[in-house]
Amino acid sequence: MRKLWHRGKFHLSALMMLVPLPFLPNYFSPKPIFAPPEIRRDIGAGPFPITLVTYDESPHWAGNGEWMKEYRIHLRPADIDKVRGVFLRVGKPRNLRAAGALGFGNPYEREAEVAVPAEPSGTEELWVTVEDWSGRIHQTSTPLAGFLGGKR
Amino acid sequence: MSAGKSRTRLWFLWHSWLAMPIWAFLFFICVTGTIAVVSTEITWLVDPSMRASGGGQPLPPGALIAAAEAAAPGGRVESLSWGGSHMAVGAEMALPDGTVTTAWVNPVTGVVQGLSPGTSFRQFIRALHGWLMTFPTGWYLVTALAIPLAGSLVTGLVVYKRFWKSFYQPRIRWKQAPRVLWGDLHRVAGTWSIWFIAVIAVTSLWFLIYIALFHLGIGLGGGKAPVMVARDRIPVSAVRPKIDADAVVAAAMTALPDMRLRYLRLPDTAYDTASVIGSSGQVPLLPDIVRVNPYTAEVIVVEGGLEGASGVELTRTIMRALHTGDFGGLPVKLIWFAFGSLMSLLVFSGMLIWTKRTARATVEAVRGLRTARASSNA
Repeated sequence: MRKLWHRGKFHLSALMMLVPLPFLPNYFSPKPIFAPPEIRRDIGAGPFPITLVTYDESPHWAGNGEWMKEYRIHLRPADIDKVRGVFLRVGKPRNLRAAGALGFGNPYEREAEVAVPAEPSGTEELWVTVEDWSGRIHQTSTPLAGFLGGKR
Repeated sequence: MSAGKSRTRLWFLWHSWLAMPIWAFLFFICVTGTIAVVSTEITWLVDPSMRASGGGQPLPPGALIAAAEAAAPGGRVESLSWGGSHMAVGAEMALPDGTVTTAWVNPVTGVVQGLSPGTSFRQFIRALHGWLMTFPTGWYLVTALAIPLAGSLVTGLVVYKRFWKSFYQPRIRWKQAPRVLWGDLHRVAGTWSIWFIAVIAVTSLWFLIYIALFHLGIGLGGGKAPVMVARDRIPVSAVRPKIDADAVVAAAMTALPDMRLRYLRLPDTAYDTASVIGSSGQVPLLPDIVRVNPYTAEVIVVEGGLEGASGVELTRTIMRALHTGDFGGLPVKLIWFAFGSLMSLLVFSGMLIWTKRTARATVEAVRGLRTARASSNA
């Protein structure tokens, strides 16, 4: 045993190669395998039914002092070319310029990183602003309580 | 023993101990990094759908996009990347199930030669090399290697007297005992890769500092507001207007006629610009980015060269380019691959020399001490 330790101690750093192993299956799966459960909310903004999806995990720290939470925005496939943009914001936006985080990326599953309060009071509303290609605005809101995820 | 000699001995101990306890990890990172340099070329060799013959008149981007989207139901092309005349154009597509796939389109015939769903080998080997697939823990573990790496370089230069002789009188005694041969290889390879080890150590250290400052909440500043399409320039219509990719690229090429086209990024949102990225060689290491209004095909801004970026962004771009060797096409990549291999060899030969000599020397020294003590006790 001692001999083994003497011979092997300097090769122990090879064990670092094991670090990536547990992450490999998840990496190669097209969708996360060990993802936390999802919270889904069906809402409607004007003529557009929308499903908002987020993971049941606490908001993450963005490094700039803000806490962020990621929401995925599912429109009906027939609507994706009618909608110019979907904005999410905690609290009612005062105008379109401050409508909040804009959903981006895959048009079938836009993502938005929303700044959320560090210590929510439980009465906040998540406001959804949809602008269609004709420039019309459709707004709705849903309680943030139960939609923030994580243990709170 | 003279003071100078014992000081050298101390430096030598530092040189040995800096890398030895972590040699296998360092070796793993060196090897994966070396592979990462040529990862695109490796996939090109393995996957015939990525190859193109090179001859003929290339098709305009719009035709490539149409071909790719026809190959996957509901697919939306988000970007096109051109890898040179020998490579098929990679069209990255968003799919209705929320995943992405890359369609390899022949630039001349417009035939979709294959689809590569999910992440590529290039991304995989990068994730393995850069952060051991776990961010940010792995990122810290890997970038922390910059410190022993820089230490090994400095102590190596101190220990190896007149190392510059290896430049004009490289001595490798092939026929000697393996210990001698490995030692010679270690010294010659080390001398010839001084510049490369320095580049890798400095850039890795930058990656460590950059992420540490981020996590400490110390902003580096210098971030520019993103270029967006002015609100009143976005067309009003019933449905999303079709983007004329040909006109977008043509406008960018008019703005920078000498640019070698590398990448077209279609807008991420309705308010984003289309970005055309290429290299015109105005400033080495730095790409040119042309932001184009996707609806009118007017050039909004040409970002490129030195004035295009702030200090931090510039540093980021240069550090990344220097670390990966991805700034001068295949020749530079092959140089980086060769020296990456040499660096892996350095780590490996260092370990061999240690086990063949230093370990034995330590054992003998300890034994010598013991016998001395035993005899003095008697």
